[in-house]
Amino acid sequence: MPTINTLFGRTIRDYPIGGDANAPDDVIWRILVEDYDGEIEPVMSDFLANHASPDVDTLVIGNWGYDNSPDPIIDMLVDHKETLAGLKSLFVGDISYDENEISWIVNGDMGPILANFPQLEYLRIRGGNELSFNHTEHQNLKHLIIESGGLDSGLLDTVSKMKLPNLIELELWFGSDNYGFDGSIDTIKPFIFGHQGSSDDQNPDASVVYLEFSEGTSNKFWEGTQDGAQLTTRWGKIGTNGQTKTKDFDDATAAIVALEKASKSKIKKGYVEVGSNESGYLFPKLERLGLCDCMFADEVASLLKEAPILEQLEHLNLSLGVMTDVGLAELIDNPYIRGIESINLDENYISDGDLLDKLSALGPVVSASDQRNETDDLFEDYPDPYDFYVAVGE
Amino acid sequence: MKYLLIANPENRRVAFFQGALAAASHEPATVIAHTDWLAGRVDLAAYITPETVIRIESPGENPETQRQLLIRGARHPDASIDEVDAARVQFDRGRLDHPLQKALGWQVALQELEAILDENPHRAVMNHPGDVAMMFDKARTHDLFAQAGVPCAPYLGRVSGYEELREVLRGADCQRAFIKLRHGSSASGVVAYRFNDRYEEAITSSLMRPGPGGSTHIYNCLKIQRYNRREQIELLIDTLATQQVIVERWVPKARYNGKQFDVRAVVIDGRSRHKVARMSASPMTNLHLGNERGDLDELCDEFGDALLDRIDASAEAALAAFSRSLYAGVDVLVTPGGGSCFALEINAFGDLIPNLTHEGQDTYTAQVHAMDARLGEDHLSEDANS
Repeated sequence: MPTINTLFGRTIRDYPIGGDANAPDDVIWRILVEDYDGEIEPVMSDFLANHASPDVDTLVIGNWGYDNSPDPIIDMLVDHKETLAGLKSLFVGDISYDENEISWIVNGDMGPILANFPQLEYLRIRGGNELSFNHTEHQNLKHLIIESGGLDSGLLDTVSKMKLPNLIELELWFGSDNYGFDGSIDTIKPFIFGHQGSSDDQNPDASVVYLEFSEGTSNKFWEGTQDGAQLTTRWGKIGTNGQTKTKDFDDATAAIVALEKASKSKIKKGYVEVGSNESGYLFPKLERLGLCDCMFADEVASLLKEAPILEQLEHLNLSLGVMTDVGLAELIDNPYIRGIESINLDENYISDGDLLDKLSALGPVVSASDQRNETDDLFEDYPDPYDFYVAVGE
Repeated sequence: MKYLLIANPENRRVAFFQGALAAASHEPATVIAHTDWLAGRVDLAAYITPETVIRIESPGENPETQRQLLIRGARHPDASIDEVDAARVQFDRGRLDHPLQKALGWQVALQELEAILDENPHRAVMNHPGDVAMMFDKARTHDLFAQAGVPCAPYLGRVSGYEELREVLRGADCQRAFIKLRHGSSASGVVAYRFNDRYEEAITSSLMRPGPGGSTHIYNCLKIQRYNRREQIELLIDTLATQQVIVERWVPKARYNGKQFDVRAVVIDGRSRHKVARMSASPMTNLHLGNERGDLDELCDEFGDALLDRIDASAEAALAAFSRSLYAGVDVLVTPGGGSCFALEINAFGDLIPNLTHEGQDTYTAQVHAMDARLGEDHLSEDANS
């Protein structure tokens, strides 16, 4: 992956220490270290000292060095959360293949970003190695993109249980089992069907009610979480983390009754339930779903035939994977596919142009550039049970 | 003066050098085949006079020379097979077959050469056999570079196998390393290895094939292999380690146009001269692996003109550590961003870069001129022209 030059139509420039007075007003700065033995902290520190202001709405973090975690620079951002209160878009890890191959980027904990930038709407992350989220809720986030050469099942489980009630775009690059993807098609299923009906390891004793109230200038939420005999309520302005109160009951039943009572009273006052729509999907407002760089793209395509989430999707991205004509035929058979506006199938293993035409004829705008075949692989691999590889591994 | 060339006579290196001598109006060198003197068919001492200038050429690319070195290696205490078995070894193209004993044989042969030179007065040696032996031993070269303060990829020592490799890397807080045969060249038995808590990878020109009796044979392969499974990597490293390996920190290389590169610089008489950038999609940049020569001009446009000075300084420092050598090829690593240069390898026979001239001279002609200058010889071709 190359680094990006523009984001949202705006130019990105590498931030030079001392800044650049001649840069365009709407420039997006990329904080990075270019030299092998350089350090990114002084660059970030210089940027924060000279440029941190509520006017910074977008920030890109590039290469932070080799084999070290970005946690220190994430901490620096968090330390400036008040001055960066206008930050809406953040790309952590705009690191090109030239700088560090995606599978060998050492990432870190992005939880502090979710916890401390409540106004954030767009979070893009490259590099799945050591990626984690110690905080998994965000009221405002609309776009979450995780590009990786291999995501482990622990992280995927965490993502599938995130509370992102306003998420409209989710893109995940599952990657290769050689570079950290340790799951199976079952690991991917929650992103196709949600957690409904899956005999998952979700705590059966816990339940959550999330409500929102919007009227005039009032935009607030109320959330109740019952876990065993404990009831935790959280409330506040939408986009903030609000206040939290925890109360212990004699037993779980008493806590459930209390949660029901409290939520009914809120609904009476005009609060509406958000996050438990009919599809039972993870993210109720999702419009764009990317299940990318997937070894099981054909199986994903097959499962999508029974995925009601497609009814609400505008865009489906199944690029960079191991989809063959078999998976493509499954998409054509999908009853929901006519309602999708666009489908991205770039860099798969599709060879049948007629099938692609059939898919387009059903309505969606189909992109299917750079299809690969077995012999395209750069390296002569040792005989392996897999003949095909996901586009982004190493 | 009269040149004596100890070489594989059929090799193009010999023709190139003879050509350079002729261009400088020198008499052709007398050529002694490695196979002849190693087999004792020729008495080297008889060819050495006080006017002789000696040049030692590569013993590579000749299966019979390799067999002779294997036999010679039987005299070394670390030998694994005796002379009789060594003589019977069947040539198997590309296979890493007893590389350690062949290298030890080369070390023994160079010691013998050194003794012959000590006893027989001669005019000069282009590269002293003691230096050649040292350059062929990466462990000793690293020690020498450390003593001389030559910037190079940090040396993490020798390891006996995969387990010790992991131990050494943990101790050094290092996640990327090159594992190289202690006595190797041309990317033979070189492994670029990296790991983290979840996965690991070995990129190498070594192809493993099952040998007889559960053994593993390793072949030099022009196609770069990539191993991701622990058992494979363990087998690879353990098999290579039986032939002695060294470990270096894997310092990333700068990239240009999506390819990583390093620079082969031929240093002659203290000056870094012929330079060629080697562009590669893999961590192995050797040109014989199909990698292309890059354009140094373009690299300077990208990384600044001072890049050449840094490359030259790095290459010259490497050769300066070998005081008894006139020339060598030095592989210089440029770090991402172009800020630093490190000497990666020094090769006594790294001067074979056909079709490249510097100041109008190819590498061989440049060496002949440098030797003449050192010996205070007025240039013969100029004499002939006057």
